[in-house]
Amino acid sequence: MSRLYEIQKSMRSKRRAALQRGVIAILDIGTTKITCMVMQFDPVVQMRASEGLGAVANHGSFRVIGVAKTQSRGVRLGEITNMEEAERAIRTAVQGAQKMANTRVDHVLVCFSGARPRSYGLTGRTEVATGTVMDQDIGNVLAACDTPPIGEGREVIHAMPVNFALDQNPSLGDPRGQIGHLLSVDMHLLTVDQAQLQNLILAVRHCDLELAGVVSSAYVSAVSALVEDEQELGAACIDIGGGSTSISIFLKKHLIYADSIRIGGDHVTNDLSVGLRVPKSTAERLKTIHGGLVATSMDDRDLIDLNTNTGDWDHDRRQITRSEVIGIMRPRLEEILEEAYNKLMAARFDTLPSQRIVLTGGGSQIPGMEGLASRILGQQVRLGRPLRIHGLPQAATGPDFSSAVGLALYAAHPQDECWDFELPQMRIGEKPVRRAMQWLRENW
Amino acid sequence: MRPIDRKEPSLGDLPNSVSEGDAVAPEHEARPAQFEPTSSEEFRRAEIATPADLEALKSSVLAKIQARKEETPNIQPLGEVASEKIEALFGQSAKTPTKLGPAPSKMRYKFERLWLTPIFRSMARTALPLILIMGAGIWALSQDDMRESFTQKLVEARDSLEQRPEFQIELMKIIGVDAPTATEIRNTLNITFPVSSFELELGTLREKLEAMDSVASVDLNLVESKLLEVSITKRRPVLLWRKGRELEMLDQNGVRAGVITSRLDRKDLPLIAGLGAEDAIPEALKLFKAAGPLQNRLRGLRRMGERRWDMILDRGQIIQLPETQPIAALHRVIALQATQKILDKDVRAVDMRVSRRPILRMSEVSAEMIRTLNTQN
Repeated sequence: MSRLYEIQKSMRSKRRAALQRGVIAILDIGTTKITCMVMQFDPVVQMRASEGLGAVANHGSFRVIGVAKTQSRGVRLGEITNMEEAERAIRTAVQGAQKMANTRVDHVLVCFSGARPRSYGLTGRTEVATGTVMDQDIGNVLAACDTPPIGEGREVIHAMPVNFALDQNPSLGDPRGQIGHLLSVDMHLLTVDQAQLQNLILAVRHCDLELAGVVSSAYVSAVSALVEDEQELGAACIDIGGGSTSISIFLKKHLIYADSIRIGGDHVTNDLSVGLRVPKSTAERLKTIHGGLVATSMDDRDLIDLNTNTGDWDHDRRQITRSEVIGIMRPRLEEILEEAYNKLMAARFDTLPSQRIVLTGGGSQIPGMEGLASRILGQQVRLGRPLRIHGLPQAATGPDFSSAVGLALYAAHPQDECWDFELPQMRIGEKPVRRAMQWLRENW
Repeated sequence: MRPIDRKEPSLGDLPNSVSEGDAVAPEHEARPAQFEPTSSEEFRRAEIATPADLEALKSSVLAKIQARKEETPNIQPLGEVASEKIEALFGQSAKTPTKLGPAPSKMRYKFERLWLTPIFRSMARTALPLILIMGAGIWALSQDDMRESFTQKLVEARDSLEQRPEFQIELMKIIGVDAPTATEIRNTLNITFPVSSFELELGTLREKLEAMDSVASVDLNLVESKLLEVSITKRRPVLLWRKGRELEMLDQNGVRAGVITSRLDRKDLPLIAGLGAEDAIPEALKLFKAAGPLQNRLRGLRRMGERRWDMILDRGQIIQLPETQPIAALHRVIALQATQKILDKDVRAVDMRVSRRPILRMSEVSAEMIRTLNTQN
């Protein structure tokens, strides 16, 4: 925990350094595409935001000055499988974004959807030392959380205090400055596979970039796709991506649950490719142009040419109806949504006060998605697009960019995590020289 | 059956010619002229051959083509095509490119990042060329012979520019003066034509000319780039000033406008004399104008003690004018003359220095006579 704490803390300080320099990049490593955005920060607005003007004031503090996306290579199910290929893809995206921004970026925030995220709810309680809750008490109560056995080869990427309770008051966002006796905290812990995380970190390092944070894409796509009251009252975000589908639940503007299903749009393409005996590129084209989920009688008459190139005339000149395409796509998407529903139910989503579900990600663009989703997930379903952020080109405003946009928002205004507070053992066991050295390392 | 003319081979003949050494099957001749290598003996062999065999086969085929080419020169273009085809057929095993996605190479990526670094870019764009140019300049100037040749080149370039016909001035035209003065001006300026306009300093020329007595002001113009036009405004002499033995002509401002030797040369100009006369030219001119009926008797004005005028008439008569308001005093004298004819009498001087009280000075003889008359009465 202590090593992780230091790593995360150093990434936080790198993020701050990048914001001071005014330029930071975000990298959304997906299975189908890798997106890189370069953002420019106005340091004045940023400073005001840190004084507590809140998320809305913060929203205008940056603008996107460079966006590039490239077809993802060497990534499957949101995890890096071929290191070299993935590096090449990251290089392509970063270079494109740098070129558009006409500036160099050194710090990058990364989000990814794979690596089997797992959520834990933690509670901790402690006595308030002085009678008034100070920063130090927060650190104490966070340190007092009993860490669950997260398993071998797992790593924590998010540890967010979600809710504080002080004596009889059960829900406090920020208890600092309040008078009380017994402080308790609910913390949300998100773990991922360590090896995958390390691969990712290594791939970014190989591209000469400094990592300023690693975020789960389930979290950030919800940040951009859920509107504020949904985040406050409770909502789930299902991001149907290429290789995996991420699920996250928000309550009181905090992530309380995140998970991912290892099925996504690529599997739909694969089904089409296998079912229609066409190459993957043709299947992808069929899916995006003729894809659908609800067949009508019109679709039986809608003939689509399968222009394959095998040399066999009869095979190449086949025609299929759109209903056949729908017939292949629908079961797979039903599977995805049912899987998501099961995950949500397992997370006791039905006990939340509001049960809105927002679908986003590239997969949510399939025509008829809303109808299918409301049949499986219930009536409170809508399709979500990411928030509009300043300077974002039109091409990057679709739902398939919701995790990239969310990561941009997160880069500007991250939520407090466990490592933003001084934990007690750090205060006691610190060695001044080592701290100074670390400070030097981080800042030069 | 079509007879085959060996001298005019077509593309379809090539496989035949290749397998010339073997027995030529008769159906080859009947086949349409088309390149079908798969039916050929060698090409069938090629399918199972090792790379070394293929190489040998390829060279033998090329050699045969070469031989054919030599014996029939007009085969050449087709032969080229055929050899390319063989290249394409036999070169198949060369390489299948490994399929990688498009990406910048590591070096390129690093360089691009470096190039996007502002300080590096500004250094490479401004500082580096600046340093290079300065270094080259300093190195060149530190070489003595190079510096010399450089200055020489500079001088030569300047000279050649100055000597261009566009800048040559061939003539001088003097406007506004008569011939002798023009000659005098030419002598003063002393320019030998043609001359480059770079060598003429108009300011100096103007100073030289304006130093001349007879010149009031000068305009120097380069007309049509060939002609130096000197337009001169002459000084207009209004007075003669006797200065010892010589006579100076003065203009309105009391500046010398020339010298004459004899009063008879300029009888039209009134004459003044005395020290400091040149400072009171306007007053003198007014007095001359005011002289009116005395004009034909007037000889001139004499400055007395650098403060007042004496008007000299003929017969040695003098009108002594006051320092202030001399014209009023003169008018008074003229009035006296008109009423009492005082100047017709034997008066030596009319003293108007105190203008309220004119005093007449008689000649000695007349004064004696008057005294005798008075004593007799």
